[in-house]
Amino acid sequence: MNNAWRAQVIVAIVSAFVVAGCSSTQPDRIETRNASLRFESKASADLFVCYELPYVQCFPVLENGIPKTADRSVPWSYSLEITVIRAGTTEEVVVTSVTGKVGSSIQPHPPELDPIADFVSLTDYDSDMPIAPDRIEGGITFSNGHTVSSGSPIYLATIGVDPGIPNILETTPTFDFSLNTGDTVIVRARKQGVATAPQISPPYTNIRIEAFLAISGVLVTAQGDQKSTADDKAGFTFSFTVR
Amino acid sequence: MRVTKWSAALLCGMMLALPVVGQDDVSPKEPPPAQSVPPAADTEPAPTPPAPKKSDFGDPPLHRWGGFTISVAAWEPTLVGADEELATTYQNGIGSPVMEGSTDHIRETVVGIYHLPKDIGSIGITYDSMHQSDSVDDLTPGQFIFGETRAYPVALGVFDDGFADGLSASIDRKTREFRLYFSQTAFENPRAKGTWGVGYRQLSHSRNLSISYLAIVPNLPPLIPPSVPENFDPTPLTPLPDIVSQTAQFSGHGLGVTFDLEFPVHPRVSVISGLAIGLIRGSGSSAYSSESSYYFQLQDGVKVYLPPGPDDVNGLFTILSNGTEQQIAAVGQEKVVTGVSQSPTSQFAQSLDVYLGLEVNVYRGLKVFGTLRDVYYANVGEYVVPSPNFTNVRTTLSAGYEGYVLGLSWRY
Repeated sequence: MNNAWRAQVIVAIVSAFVVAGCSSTQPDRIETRNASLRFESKASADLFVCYELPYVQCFPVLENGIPKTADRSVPWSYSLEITVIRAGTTEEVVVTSVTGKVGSSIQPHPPELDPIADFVSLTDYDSDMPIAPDRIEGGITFSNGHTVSSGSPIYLATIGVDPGIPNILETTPTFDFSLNTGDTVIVRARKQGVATAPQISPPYTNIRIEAFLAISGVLVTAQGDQKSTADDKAGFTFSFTVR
Repeated sequence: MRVTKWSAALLCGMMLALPVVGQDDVSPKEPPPAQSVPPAADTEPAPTPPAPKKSDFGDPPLHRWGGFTISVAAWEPTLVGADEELATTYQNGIGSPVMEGSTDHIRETVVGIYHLPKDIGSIGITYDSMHQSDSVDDLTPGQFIFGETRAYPVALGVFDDGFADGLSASIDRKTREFRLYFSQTAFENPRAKGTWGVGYRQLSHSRNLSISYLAIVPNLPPLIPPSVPENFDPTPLTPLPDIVSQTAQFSGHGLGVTFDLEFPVHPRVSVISGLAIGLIRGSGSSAYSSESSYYFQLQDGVKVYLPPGPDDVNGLFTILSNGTEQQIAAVGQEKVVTGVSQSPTSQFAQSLDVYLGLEVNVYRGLKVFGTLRDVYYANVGEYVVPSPNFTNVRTTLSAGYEGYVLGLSWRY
């Protein structure tokens, strides 16, 4: 065998070994996504026409002599817990928002921190307030009126009820946090009981709360219920895994 | 860089071929033709050239007391025929078993041979040890796709429907074989050499399987205020995993025969091959247990079963959604355990060992070899599993190992 032939054979075998041994498999990439959670509450609320002049006065909207109601947003408090199971694990951990807020209103806090109330979270008021025509009642002309529901801050101010500032775990308008690919977020929520909520007159009926979860700005459909029933203190649990 | 079997094979081939490629031609050269010289008067005839020396790479001669051969080899056997079914996933009604094989680990084989004086024969000892220990976690939180096929079918899954959204398993498989044998040359000529052997064998095989079927995210109604106080402990209602444990052991001893062939293709290189068959009489034992659970509510001191489905009327979901704190506190989980344990029973196992490869004489008495080896152990234990009709289902176990062996032997 001559040396040149041997060298060519050796180079060919080594090259085949190198090519066969190389791998082009890339490691899995972990993507971080922005998650955003918000709540709404709907109920059957009475409709009113409220005027500012010459003084604040609300008149019920009647239909065939019966107060008219409509399904409108109403401010309602709820307890909330948001946890995450990181990819490849089975333990739940309470999330923290991008602004540092703890994702739970039911966790006991250390004494040195201000405890967060179980029902600190509050859904938004009814913002629908079309202009109403002036009204003459008992010789008085009422003007600057709006048709609102009993979920409107305009009406609630007339009856001296102030549920508070809409928020979700002391953030507004949404609770934003980060999720990685493969993480599973779990949301648990329950309505505040009617007996312990601010007393609204006339009271709301058929109160439901609903959660909306968006991943990277896109609303997602989760597993489980995202809407409560109208039963008092009703709640729901849902989960979503980021793929 | 990922090393594949074929890469390892090429590397073995290189290691064996390079010494051959690099060596000079050792065949004795023909003496040059004698030059024509006119005979001189009264001169002595030219001396004949000395015969060329033979290549010095064969086995050394036996001492008066005999000789020794020590051989050590390493291989990365792939476990064949011993995959375990952990669960079954279903899509459009078609089931796909979730099977778990094993990861490969480098193992060693040791051989010691004493060569009796005057070529009477040889006495050898071989020891093989294979151990695969694997763990698996397959988690799909919230997606209940794993059918709990290895668990006893009672109250399986958080919804009692036999499905889990995750599984965690550990599998341990061991095989040990010891051989003590006498061997002798059957025939030998320039083209081939055959060696037969017969002897004693000891074999053991064991398996340990543990599977936990999980309910990671069952989305049960929230146990948070106002239905329960803030300090309510939901742990007793967290779904318990369904756990399956299966073990099998076999050990025995018996007889075996071997036949090895060597085909020299070069003064330093031989093709080697061999076959070994064994019959082992031993005993095997097995144990199985399956643990599952169901939800109940304590009513007047009696544990009343709660249907756990989201649509079940007056079931778990109804109580957790709308029940009072006292009604929720009365909910718990009850375990159900089913199992069978079989004491050792006699069994006949068989072993088959085949190899083919190359052997290179590196130096006098020192050899390097590389082979492809297949070993198969049949009937080395059984799984015993109870079935709902008071019978037991038996599954015979077998295990095969395949891999490339690279080793070194030294004859003294």
